[in-house]
Amino acid sequence: MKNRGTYLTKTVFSVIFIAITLVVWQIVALIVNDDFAVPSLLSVGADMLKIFYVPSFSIAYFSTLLRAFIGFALSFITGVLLAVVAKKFAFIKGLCVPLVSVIRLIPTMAIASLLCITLSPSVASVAVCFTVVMPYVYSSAQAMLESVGDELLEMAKVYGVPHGRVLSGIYLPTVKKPLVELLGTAFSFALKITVSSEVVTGALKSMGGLINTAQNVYLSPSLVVAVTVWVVVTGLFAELITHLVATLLDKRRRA
Amino acid sequence: MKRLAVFLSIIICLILSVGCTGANSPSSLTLVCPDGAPAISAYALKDTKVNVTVYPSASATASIQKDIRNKSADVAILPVNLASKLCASGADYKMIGVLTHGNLYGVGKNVLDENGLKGKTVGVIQLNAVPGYTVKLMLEKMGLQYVENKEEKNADNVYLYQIPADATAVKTALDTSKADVCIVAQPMCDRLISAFSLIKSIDVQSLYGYFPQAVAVVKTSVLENRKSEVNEMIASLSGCDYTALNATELVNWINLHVADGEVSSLAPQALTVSALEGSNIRFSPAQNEKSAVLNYLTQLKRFDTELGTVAIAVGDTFFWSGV
Repeated sequence: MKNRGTYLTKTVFSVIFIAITLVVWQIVALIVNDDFAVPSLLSVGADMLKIFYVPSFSIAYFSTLLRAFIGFALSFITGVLLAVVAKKFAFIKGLCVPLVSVIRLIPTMAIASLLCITLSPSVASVAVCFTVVMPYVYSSAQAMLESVGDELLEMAKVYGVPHGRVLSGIYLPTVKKPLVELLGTAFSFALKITVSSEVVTGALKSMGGLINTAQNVYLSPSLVVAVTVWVVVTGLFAELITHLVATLLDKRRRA
Repeated sequence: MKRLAVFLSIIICLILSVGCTGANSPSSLTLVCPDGAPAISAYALKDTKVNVTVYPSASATASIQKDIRNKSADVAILPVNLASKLCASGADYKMIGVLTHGNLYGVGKNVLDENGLKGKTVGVIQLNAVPGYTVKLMLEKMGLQYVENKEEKNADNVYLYQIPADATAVKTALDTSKADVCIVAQPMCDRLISAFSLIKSIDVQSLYGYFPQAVAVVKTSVLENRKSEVNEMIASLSGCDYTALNATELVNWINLHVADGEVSSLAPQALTVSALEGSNIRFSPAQNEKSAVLNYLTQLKRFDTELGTVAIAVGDTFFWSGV
């Protein structure tokens, strides 16, 4: 009952936040009264619907989604594996600290500009996504693994509990929910980075390419915002799905 | 109290004097243009009172668009399709002339044989903008089919793909045979040829025909009320021999005028006589260019999509008849 109340409160707050954002946006648009500076909700909404039925938008949307998914999958697998190995071997953990720090510190746009010299814009976008998202996944996964109680692990070692049982009985219950939630946040992060790098690398059949063309050729800020809102909605949808799955897992565990 | 009054008076006098002698005094016209060939064309105004601002290529479209919509620029040099979209009615701005007349060239490692571009892979800067559209028009005129999906490439068509406007990227694409030819703009074309021993294999202007690339538009109120300054500006633009410029002085001058303290992408060593000749910069009055502009805009409109328009059809009011 308490949980249901919490979810209801969260939903209500989310709806209030979205409503406030939309109202503030429309008020600013009315004050500025220039669709080129701040596009109105109406023109953005109209463009969102208009592009939904345009085949070139579908191609761009799914191409970006595919790049983001490849970048996300590579980042997730590498990041989690690296965190597991780092947990097991202190030597690897020591090596990972400077490696991940350096990757995290390299300016994203510099990587994008460098990679698009030798790679195609599509591959460069995926590579940029990997360099940004992988350190994030690694850090999050490492924090999750660190949260597993040392006493329990020590006890399992003393009693000679097999590795499989340690994994399913100690690690999995602790990291299951945050790991599922990390899937959503990492994917929406990957999507954001992929679109940004598409803008820089000049990938044509992509959401980033659409943003470039809308901005520099069609001179349509409302189309730029419409494409951006579709990206945001997709990211939020991914986060919502994984949040629901995580909640279900949590409920099942409590039951 | 008296001291305070004197002190405040001095401050006010200082502010007023700075305001009156500043570069943005109301007597000077303001001109905005993108970096590259348009910035070179603006160099003709170095001895006039025109206050020039050069925008870096990446932000030029947005910045010039803003200046024209706010009517904060008296003069703007911009691509012809952008001018058609921003000043189609001719109510606020009119086109006074064409300044750059096409500067797209293909560079490669080998001379093209009699089959020319058939079956070749061509890298193009800004494939989804005016350079790309012009290359597509050129191929259509040559009777060649083009594709943009690698999977559809075959021996009878031309595969087009986008390359970054970056010398290293072009060199890498040619070295790795990713592209047979790369279409770039001057002065980058001559820079690539001299630095990497490449060959100029395509002249888009020769194969497609003449096209107006960048035009100058002037605020209608300025055309009506400040005729002597406009005439002086046009005289400077018309009288300049752009092939005889001192490259170092030119780049130094452009660097002084780039917005936000940035520097130009142009390098003196790239601005050889050949590069400046190939840039096709010269002032040609609006009335002489009317049919060429109308024809080119009509051709560009073929690339309009359901998502937006590339160019807008303009009427007589778009062209200024006073020159």
